[in-house]
Amino acid sequence: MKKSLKLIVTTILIAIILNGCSSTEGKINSNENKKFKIGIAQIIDHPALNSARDGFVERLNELDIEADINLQDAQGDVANSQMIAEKFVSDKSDLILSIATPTSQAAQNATKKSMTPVIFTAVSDPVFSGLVKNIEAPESNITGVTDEVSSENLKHIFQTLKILKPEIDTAGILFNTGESNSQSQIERIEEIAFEEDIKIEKVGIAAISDINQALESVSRKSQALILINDNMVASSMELVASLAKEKNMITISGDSSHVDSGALVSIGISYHELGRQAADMAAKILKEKTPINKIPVESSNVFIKKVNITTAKAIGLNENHPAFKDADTVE
Amino acid sequence: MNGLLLVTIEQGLIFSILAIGVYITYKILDFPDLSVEGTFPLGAFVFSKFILTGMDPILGSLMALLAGALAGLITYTLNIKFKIKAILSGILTMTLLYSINLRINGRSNIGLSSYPTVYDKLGKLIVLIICVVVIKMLMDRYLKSESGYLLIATGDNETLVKSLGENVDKYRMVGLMISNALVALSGALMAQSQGFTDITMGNSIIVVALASIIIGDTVMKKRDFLKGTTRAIIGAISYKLIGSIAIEIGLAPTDLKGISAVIVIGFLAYNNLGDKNYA
Repeated sequence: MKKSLKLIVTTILIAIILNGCSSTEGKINSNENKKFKIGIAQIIDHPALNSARDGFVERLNELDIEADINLQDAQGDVANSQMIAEKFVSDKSDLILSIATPTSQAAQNATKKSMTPVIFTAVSDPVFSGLVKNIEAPESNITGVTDEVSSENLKHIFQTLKILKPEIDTAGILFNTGESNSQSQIERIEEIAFEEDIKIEKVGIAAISDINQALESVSRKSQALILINDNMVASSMELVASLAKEKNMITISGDSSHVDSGALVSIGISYHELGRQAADMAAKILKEKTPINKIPVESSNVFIKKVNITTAKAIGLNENHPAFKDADTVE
Repeated sequence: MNGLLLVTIEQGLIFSILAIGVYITYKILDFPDLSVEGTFPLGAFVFSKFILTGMDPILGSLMALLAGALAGLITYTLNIKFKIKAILSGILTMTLLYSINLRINGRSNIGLSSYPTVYDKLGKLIVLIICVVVIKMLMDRYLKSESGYLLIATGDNETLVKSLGENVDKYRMVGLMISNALVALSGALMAQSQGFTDITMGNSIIVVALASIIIGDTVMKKRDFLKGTTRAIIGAISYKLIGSIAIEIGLAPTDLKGISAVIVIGFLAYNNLGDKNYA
């Protein structure tokens, strides 16, 4: 027992020594032309998250912010994200960019004492995740850009719908009754739809096998289908899109991956822009020394349109239709 | 103390509890229990559920422990009662727990930073050292009791236990329940340490546990005085240390896992090659 305790203590001591040896890097060149130290913590290698990161770095360069950027990827391991955040703090980083929710929470936890500024991006619900209490005036050392589907985005969706079908008065939504996330999305869509004078016809499903009948019932009342981020509907998007195509319905979404699976058109945020927006926030903090509580959490206001040409042709729409102006295309 | 080092040791201690849990099934019972990938986050989600309703964090952690024991009971039922192979029983429990974990709070991610934790009074390091030492001592004591001996015998020589007129299944059940209870507790402690619970926190946790046990095994393997529980603790801290060195060296971020694996291989190879000289 005594011996084994000794050994545990030795292991910890070796840990201290080894770590002490390796943490000699990073001499700060202080005076002239201050170079900032920025740590970027990413949870996993994923196309959307990568483009947010690239957007951030690109915009930093445009803003002439000289920075030593230390990029770390937790490789999907939540415990790693904690260690990465601690490393950034012990490196005395001037700012941390955290990409996605777990890395942001880890950064929040690690900076409790140092109060190193943290900017998050690609977080859908910063309030529920406990990152900020007040979106308008973040009370701590954290602010950022969310990737939620904003009201502005929803308005763009309805406007495009009206260009595609000026006479439209009803739009359908398919959703899984078991997903609480879908319920809250629908409530927000209904609010905006009311302002845009469009009626929402929502049909709940409980299993993928219900989709056929549900779509049949929607198609009798409406000529368009709004696709939300519902996991069941999203996972059977190919089916939904092809059924809608048969019935000549317009399918419109906030998520471009739906268009890749055959939906007609999407109007949604670009993760590249999210990253650029985060860099603008970083500039405010690093250069203008704006306190974080003066930097509200933002959502993206640049939207990217994507059109599935094959689907467009199938329902008799020309790819040069005014609604598809400036859109990216997919076959 | 260096922040990265501190968090490394803290995580190492938390994973020690996980490793002791897996040591019971993997080493003692010879039962490849993959359900820990679900029980680790289960502990975190159960803890979150109770802390969000205003329960005391110590009680919340104990609820996680209890939930883990129940998960162990599920694996046991699948394996012994329904005669499903051990490895498949674990996978089924893990898959089942994925949905249960999402259902517990209705969300896949819960921020806990504004809620109390068990670390509040004494600080993380001290609380974790106390937890690990107490769990280690309790486990050592249990393994020396009659029931503990029979548990070990169940893994080593089933026939012997049967010939003593004892029910092997009973000891399998006890082992699985203790193991998963410890894993869930470790998950609850992790959630409190990192300030949030996330559905992905159980991913490849079995690898961490097994690597810890194997590393622990190779440390001074000629010395019999080292108990399995001690080896699990040393292994877990060493494993986390390896991870933190990989982060500290700061090579390409894509290589983090690869580097961790290479360093572990290095440890093992060094140990095994060193053996030849003694033989």
